[in-house]
Amino acid sequence: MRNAEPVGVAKGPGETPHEYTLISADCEQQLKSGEFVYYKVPIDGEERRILGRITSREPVKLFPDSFLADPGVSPDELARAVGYTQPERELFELTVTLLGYYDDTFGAFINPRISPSCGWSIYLAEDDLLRDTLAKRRPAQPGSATIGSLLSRPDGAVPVVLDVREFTSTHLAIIASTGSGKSYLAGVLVEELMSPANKACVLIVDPHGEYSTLTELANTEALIDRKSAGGYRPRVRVFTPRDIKVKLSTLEFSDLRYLLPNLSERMEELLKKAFDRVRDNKHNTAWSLDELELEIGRIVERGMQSETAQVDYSGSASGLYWRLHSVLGRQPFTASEHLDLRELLVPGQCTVLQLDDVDEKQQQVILATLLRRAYRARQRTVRTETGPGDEEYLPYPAFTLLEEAHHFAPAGGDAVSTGILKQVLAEGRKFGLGVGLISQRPGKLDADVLSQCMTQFIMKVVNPIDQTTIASAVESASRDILGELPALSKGQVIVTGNSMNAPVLCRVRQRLTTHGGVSQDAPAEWNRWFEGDRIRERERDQSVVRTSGPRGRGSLFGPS
Amino acid sequence: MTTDIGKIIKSNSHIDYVCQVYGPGETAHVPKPEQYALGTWVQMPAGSSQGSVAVGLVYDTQLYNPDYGTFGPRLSSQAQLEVFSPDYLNETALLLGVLVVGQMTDGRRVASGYCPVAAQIGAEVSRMEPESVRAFHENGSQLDLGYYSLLLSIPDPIMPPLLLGVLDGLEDLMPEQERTISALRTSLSWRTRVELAR
Repeated sequence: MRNAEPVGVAKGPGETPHEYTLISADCEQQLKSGEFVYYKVPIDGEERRILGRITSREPVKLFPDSFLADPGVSPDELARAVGYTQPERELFELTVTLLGYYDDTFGAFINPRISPSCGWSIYLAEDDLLRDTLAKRRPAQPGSATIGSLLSRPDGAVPVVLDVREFTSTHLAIIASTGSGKSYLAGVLVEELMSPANKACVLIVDPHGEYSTLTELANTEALIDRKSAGGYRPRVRVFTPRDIKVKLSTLEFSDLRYLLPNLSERMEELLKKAFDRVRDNKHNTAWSLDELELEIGRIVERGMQSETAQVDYSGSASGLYWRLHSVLGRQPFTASEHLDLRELLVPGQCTVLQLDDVDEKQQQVILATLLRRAYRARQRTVRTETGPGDEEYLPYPAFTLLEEAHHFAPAGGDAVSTGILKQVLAEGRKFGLGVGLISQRPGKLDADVLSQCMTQFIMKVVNPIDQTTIASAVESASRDILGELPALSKGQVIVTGNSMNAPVLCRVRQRLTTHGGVSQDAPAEWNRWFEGDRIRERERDQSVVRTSGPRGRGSLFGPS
Repeated sequence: MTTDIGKIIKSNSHIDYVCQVYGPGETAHVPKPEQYALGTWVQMPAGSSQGSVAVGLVYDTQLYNPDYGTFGPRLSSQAQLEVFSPDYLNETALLLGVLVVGQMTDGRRVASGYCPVAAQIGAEVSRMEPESVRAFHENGSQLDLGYYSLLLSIPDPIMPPLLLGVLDGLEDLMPEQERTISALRTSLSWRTRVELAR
């Protein structure tokens, strides 16, 4: 290996114990914010390279302002004119946050707690060093997901490879403002999960119908493995709102209470009694709305006949019937059908659950019931309480990607899905149920939910409330890296947390499939409205058809 | 053709020389005051090789009269004084302060900012031709004022206006460098005229 040239000289310790400062002219402009540098120090008889990340860059020597007065004359030219011909124009003081040296035994960075002394040489970290230390996995290795490359290096020089095992068990969050590429990144992640290296079992909850283009996965050559025994080709199943069915018996009483609007105390009491009875009678398998209503009728009748009864439900019953019919009497609620977990969750299959025409409350209930069922199935399978053929048998881990997560676990809200989501995030790791949350408004997302996601992908976020939420919820993201948030461009992401050895700024790779979440081009659509053939088409559609039918006697409006 | 101005009679340092301007009887063409005005570019032989000259800038003028204030009895009568007055005429002189700021050999710039070899006593000081001044300030296609910081570091209030005058002169000589010179002049002018007036 060639001997690297130093890029700067250590000045001394920084403000905090894990920081140091260095001075560099940086003539080649290599020392960008987020870039990795190292110094060498002998530890236990071995020379170690102590890696750190540049977090700030302050000029200590610049051209005088008056040299910048004329845009037509460069300050370099003026400096040369007055006899300054050195290549070094400016001088910077850079603050570096220490990561440490990579220890193969621990598979992590170890902070040696030795700041470089004044005058020590500082080197730019070589691509090889970063490739070997930043990621826990190598590209295309089983359990790896290559989502892009290091932003500060040429495209592809240092791949950013995630540890799939980590984020599918300790969950992930993608946080970004609208239009910064969060759905695109999610698409890349799904492609990686469905690659032959992972063959994952993925469920995508898609409230906007943006993920239908993932059907291309099955025909994407890079994701097909023909060499291995049996071969591999990812499968994609898209469930439209029409296909989605929720069996009434999978609903909890809290779901019913949440779905039914403005229930009075009396109605709630009546419903609870009827619900408990119908569930107990049918042993929680399949009851219908009619059966629930029948049970309500019985309770009302019994109350009226009994002289000792203290409660008269007759007034509440009619209102309750109407509410039950208006909410549960239509799609997606049925008595006997629901989405079969064995169809939804299959290794090597990406299932897209489109909820774009579904009311928000219903979306929450659909998710809550599904997660509850999947969680219970995994729990029972792990505990060997179920076996093959059983509806609650799920003998492999599953990963659920949740778009618009703030709808399902709103901050300070009472959404019915928040509880189960929290439970899965807290305990899903034990049972192999991973969740990926995608949100454009982390400020509106439940803070507990966000803080349970141990791998974070943070893209451009400008809103100060959202930035504060991220800072408080994302433990692994240091303040300095969060300072980059407003400056990130489309397709640039901060990856931090368990799936990498150190936080990195990443350039997201090109997707293999088409991106579905593209904004509408309104001006183009408006212009198309005035194109010649569109105008003629409109005139034809709007023209009044002249009737020339018989007139006379028997004609209602004709002359008598 | 170069115009001889005078000769070096002493130096105060390696860069600061004193030139005595030729008077009547010392040269065929006595230089006119405009020819050795403040800011005039001059040259004088320096070093042993033929064609090597030290490039200097007139930064000071002094009228030297050692007998000023001596009002003793004169040896000559009024009539004799009109013909010959050695006690008065021969002991006055016009002295120029010349700051050496570079070196040229055969019309090409060798050093800018200082001249490594010293001029000798008696070295003839002549006015530089505009082409030579231009050549001294050219470094390829770049303007080169290697003496700029040297001049500004001399604690003499005349230096900033002198440098501004030099820039004005160069602007006429090197029109292609007008913007660079103008930017320097603006910067210097602000520093020396506005900031100092605060």
